[in-house]
Amino acid sequence: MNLLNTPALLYLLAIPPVVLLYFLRLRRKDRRVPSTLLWETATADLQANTPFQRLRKSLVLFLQILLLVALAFMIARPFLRVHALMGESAVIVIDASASMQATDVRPSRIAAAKEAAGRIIADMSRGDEACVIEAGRRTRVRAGFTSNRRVLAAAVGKVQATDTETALRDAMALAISLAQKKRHAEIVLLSDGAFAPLDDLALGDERVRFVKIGGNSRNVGITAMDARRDYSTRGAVQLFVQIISFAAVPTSFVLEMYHNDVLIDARPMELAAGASRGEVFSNLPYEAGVLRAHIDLQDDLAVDNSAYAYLVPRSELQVLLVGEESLFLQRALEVDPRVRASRMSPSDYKAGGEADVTVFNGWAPEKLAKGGYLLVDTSAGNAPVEVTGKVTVPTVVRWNEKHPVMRYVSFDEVAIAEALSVSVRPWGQVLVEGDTTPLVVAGERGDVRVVYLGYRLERSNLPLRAAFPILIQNCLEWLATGGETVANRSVRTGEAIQLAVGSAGGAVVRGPGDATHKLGDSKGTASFDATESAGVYRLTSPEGQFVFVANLLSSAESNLKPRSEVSLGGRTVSGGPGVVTSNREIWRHLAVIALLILALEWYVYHRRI
Amino acid sequence: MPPASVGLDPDFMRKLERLTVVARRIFPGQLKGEKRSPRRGTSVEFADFRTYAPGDDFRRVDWNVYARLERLFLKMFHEEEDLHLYLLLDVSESMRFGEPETKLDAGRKLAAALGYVGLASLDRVGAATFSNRVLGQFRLVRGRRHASRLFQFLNRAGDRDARTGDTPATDLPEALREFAIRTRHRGVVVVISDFLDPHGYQAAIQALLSCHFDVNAIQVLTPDEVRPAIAGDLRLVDSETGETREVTVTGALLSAYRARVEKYCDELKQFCIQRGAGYGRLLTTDSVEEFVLRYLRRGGMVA
Repeated sequence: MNLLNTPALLYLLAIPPVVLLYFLRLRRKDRRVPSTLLWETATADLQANTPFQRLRKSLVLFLQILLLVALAFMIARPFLRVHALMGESAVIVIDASASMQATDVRPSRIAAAKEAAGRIIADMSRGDEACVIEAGRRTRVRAGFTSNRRVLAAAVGKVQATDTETALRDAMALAISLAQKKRHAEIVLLSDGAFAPLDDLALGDERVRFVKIGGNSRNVGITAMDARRDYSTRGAVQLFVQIISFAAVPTSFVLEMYHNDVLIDARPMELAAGASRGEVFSNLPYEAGVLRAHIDLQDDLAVDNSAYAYLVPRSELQVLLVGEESLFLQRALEVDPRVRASRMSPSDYKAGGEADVTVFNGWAPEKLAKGGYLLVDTSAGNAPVEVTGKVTVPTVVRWNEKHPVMRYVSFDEVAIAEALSVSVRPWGQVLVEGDTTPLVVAGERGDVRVVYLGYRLERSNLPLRAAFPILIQNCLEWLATGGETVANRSVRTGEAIQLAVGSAGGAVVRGPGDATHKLGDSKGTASFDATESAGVYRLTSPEGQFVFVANLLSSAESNLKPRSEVSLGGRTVSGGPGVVTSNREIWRHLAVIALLILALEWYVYHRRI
Repeated sequence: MPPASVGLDPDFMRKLERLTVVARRIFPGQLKGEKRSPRRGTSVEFADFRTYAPGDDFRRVDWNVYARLERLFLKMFHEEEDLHLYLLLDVSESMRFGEPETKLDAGRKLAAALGYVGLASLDRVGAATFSNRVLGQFRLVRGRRHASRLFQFLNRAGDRDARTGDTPATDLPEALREFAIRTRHRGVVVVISDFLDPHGYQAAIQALLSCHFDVNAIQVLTPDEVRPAIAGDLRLVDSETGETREVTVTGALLSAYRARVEKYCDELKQFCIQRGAGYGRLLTTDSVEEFVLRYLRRGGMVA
């Protein structure tokens, strides 16, 4: 038992005065009686018949001292160090991100977190409530508020660490909203603190306890990987891998590259503590399959030692060029060895040809049929834009780098002499915005996929820039395949991916570790978000197979160094140890005891026992 | 007309005049009085016959018997003589308690009443005050005219000693033994005291009894002594010895005390009755008048 207000024990100094007062009080009132003879015999009789007479005499004094002691200790606010909730209810948030798989604490951080959560639940007092939230890429409420410890323990048992980054903001926002509904609620965050500061969290006066999980660790992880076609080598694949060492000492390891599980490259390397290194693998054969970069090292976190990329099968692209002849366009199309280009005059054009992509340069038909179209300096009835006039010398204001068509494309210093002035239809997406009119717009509606380029190529310096062939290449990729490139065959773990599952239904996704997910009756496209494990996913549908990969690629997760404090809603919360202790004040009990003693003293005094 | 008294009202005194002090034994008196004397005499109450011995008074020969039996018998009569009545009043400190009347007041009143009874029936009445010894003595007197002197004596009884301003602690045995030795004429002794004496009352009464006194013990107590109305932590100071006794007055103690008092009084009563002595208990709040007229009468002390 400890005391919060130790100086209050000075009140115990009131005991000697009480004893003194008692003895003063015992200087009894003198009373003259004719004779004490009878009193003597009477008291002698009484004493002979009642034991503990001496004790009884001082019973009142004893009770008074006891009362004083109880009061003094009550004011001293004693507390017991008990394992308990700080409030009456707790929102237990368990970080289930990739970093919680680290094995720096045995058997793993997630197991330690679950154990700590189990202890918190086991230490709950009667009437305390708790709920369990799993904070992975997605936030899952494993158990709503309940006092049933068995339910809570089972809920904690269900928590699994995923290969994803933490989306702690969602989990904490949920936890805060749950906590706000309860009185004296406390949010217990069981985490290694490997997440970005959550300063914009609307944290009220909720109590937050951060239970630090994890110790010193050694980890080297792949934090970025990107595969791209190397146009200088006509179709070979270039792979960029970034590795960061989060170990405290220099670490040497071998970076291996596998293609369909066949080792094709291995590079021994040594990284200083905290160093990062980018490694480029060029001239990888462009054959369909999975590229896997792997760090051959036994460190504390395994999930970031591998990263995956999927190379789509190479196939020929039929490109039909209709309208004005353009040297720039032709050159740009020739860069890709897959492209088989042909040319046709507008008068010969008939809708419904074999071409994967049709390029209309300066002319377009009234209505575009099913397929992919690149409209240059022209528009059509069902194009994402409607021509309203012309503008001269539009200035590029901004461009959308996120769209697959704009990948690696910069419109920096692109000058345009004259362009069509257009208004964008609702389904069009502006890729390049001019000061007076949109300049590049992409749109997809039904079976029609269109990229609109609003000016004659010859009337701008774009074709002279390095971005042009990349733009055209991206356009072909997107128009022909819907953006099925190396890049968008890869998702971050936990992110959703749109999958074309065909019209027949019954598609099945087989993930890493042979986990299968039935997509059920979904038809057309289905959103698939069970991508919480890093690795290769294969969608099997009646229309064939589709492969994509999920990667962690997060330096925040790879950095296993446990944070001793986290920033939440502008508040810095220091981490405590795994064992959660709480101070349970017991002054109320003492107050009750003091009251009882008082009542007893009163009774004894008046009954004169 | 009865003389001025120690708080005895004339009506009461008139009633007292009709009473006489009764002796359980027959004591020899000095003058002819209203009491029987052990001496056979000339009164009218026949006692016995006895054979004539030379020198006897011829006047007492029962001639009728002689005529029948031709033997000389003397006719014996109880000689009615005066009785010696001694009133012994305890004037120790413990007698000065009681509200509104002290035990001493009640004792004086009782002594005055009994004395008046004695005087009115032509007995010889003497009085004495005592505490640890006999303090003051009122010599035997006879006749109603001495009543006022008796009352004066009783009025002064209990006046504190001028020199010490204090009265010594009771010593019943010592005082009564002294009285018994100093008193030549046996008679009725009325001891008025609270009998609360650490030395004990047994030896005192025994001393009187062994000197052939007809002893009457009147115990005077205050209601506060019988049923004390006190509470709290007290230090009881003995008024005579100055001894202190610390008590925490509890319900249990009070009932133990009450039981103790009853037992003490009962023991005294039994002690007296077993030895042929009279016993009476007077509370200071009781009416002395009623006590005399009713209880003493019933107890056979007065008739």
